[in-house]
Amino acid sequence: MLTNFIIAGLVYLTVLIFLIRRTRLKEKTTSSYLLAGGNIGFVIGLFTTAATLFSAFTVVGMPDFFRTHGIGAWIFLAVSDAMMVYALIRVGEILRRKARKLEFKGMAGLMVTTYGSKLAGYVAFGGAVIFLVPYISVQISGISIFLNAAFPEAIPVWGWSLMIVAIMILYSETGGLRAIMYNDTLQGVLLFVTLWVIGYSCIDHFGSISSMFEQVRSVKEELLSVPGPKGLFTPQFLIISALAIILLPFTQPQISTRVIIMKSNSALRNMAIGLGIVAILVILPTLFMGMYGAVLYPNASTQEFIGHVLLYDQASGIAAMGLIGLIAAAISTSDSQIFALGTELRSLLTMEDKKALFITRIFIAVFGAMALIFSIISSEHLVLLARTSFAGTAMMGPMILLGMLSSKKPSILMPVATIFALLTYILSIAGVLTASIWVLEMELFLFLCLVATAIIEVGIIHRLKQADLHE
Amino acid sequence: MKLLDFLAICTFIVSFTPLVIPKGQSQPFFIGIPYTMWMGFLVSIFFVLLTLLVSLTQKGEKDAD
Repeated sequence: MLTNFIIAGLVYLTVLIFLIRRTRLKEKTTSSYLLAGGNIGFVIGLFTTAATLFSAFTVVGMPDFFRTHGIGAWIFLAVSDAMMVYALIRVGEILRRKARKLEFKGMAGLMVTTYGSKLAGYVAFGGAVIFLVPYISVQISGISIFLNAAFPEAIPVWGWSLMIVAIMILYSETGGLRAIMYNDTLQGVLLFVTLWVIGYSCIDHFGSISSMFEQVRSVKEELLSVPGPKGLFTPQFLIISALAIILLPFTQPQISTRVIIMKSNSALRNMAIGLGIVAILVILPTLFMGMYGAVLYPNASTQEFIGHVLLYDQASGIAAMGLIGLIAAAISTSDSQIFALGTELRSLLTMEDKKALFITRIFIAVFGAMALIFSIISSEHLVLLARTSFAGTAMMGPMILLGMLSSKKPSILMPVATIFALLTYILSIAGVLTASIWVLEMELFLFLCLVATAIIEVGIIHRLKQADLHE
Repeated sequence: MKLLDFLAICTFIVSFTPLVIPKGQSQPFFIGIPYTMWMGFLVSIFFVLLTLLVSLTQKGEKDAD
């Protein structure tokens, strides 16, 4: 299999290098380098957003989630993603209008302008760094550990991590966001094909979908309903996950940037519909893989199960494709996240463009190095860390939405409340504070507090300001 | 548009009630697929359809670009 993997890897690298050369920028400006010229069409927009959204947690984590917790995983991700595309199409155009009017450079910068306070920008940037870097790291480490297990004689885990980060930084530094988007398109197609080839082979094992569910039923019937055998998928867990995922286009800068730089509202609308369809089609084969694992490998570890479903139970050509698809999934999300952190930083810098861009490029490499270091020391569970990342950035949702939708400059009440919510959430994850308040889980409690704060801001503070103006 | 938003909010709420996710219940099966799975699938498709309808409604309006 190593030979097949090397051949597939070389083909993949050749296409990457070709795309790097095609997208190489001689003259780098904020617009061309960080925002890809703000002129992205429907097809590239769809694939880059899909590849950014569906990371290693989709390929590794979701089959394992289906295997361990059952079909509630569909509600957890597919239903939430479908809800997200509705939010994207309803609020996306408003975000684009505001962003274009205020010369968008990044979400943090947009918050500075809409709130008239640097604090709002720092909160948006800080929240993104705190919750995205560990998520990037865990993806890189997950894939590296897996590659090391597949080829124990080749290179150590840190060697794989270094290679993945080096590839990402290389093409990000050379061609900027446009290079990332073209590579995402390649990786998105690869990920899609890989998932379906492997998903189909899993269905083929059972003969039909109904036979698959019948066999799962005979092994563990709790997998076919919620909350699943371990009781994970409670309505509250699913609601928090849905809210976090619905807010992704506005709270995770790598996605909001893509929404804003689409070349027209029409392209955005087509992208949103396409994304909804792609989400369903990407998650469906992970269900088949998970149910296959539930029947054949119910007690295996995540790594053993993924090893079997992606590699050892497949023909060697498909297994090599599975490995490349896995690397592509990790790279296509991580590169966009690292780059988005750079874009966010740039949007807070007020100096001359060339100098600001130089600092940003250095920091893109720094964020890459941070992710690499964390990836070597981290060993968290992939899907749950992804959800923590989504929930953490979702805390910024009310502040960002208020800034975007408000016609007047809001006060600093929301940024201050968001800082408190983020700190409380981090302390709760660390075990310093309780995980739930009354019957509500901490994430939902904090989110409801932030929504209440936004209502106070709009309903009371805005009116008081207006009354002052009239007097 | 308000009707579509109303439908989206109602479906969001219903998605987390026993109508879609009844606790510990996999019956009735539909063409061999457990209840929550096919209801979840329908909800996903419904949201994509709502997105399509929003797109068609917005298409008539002039783009802000």
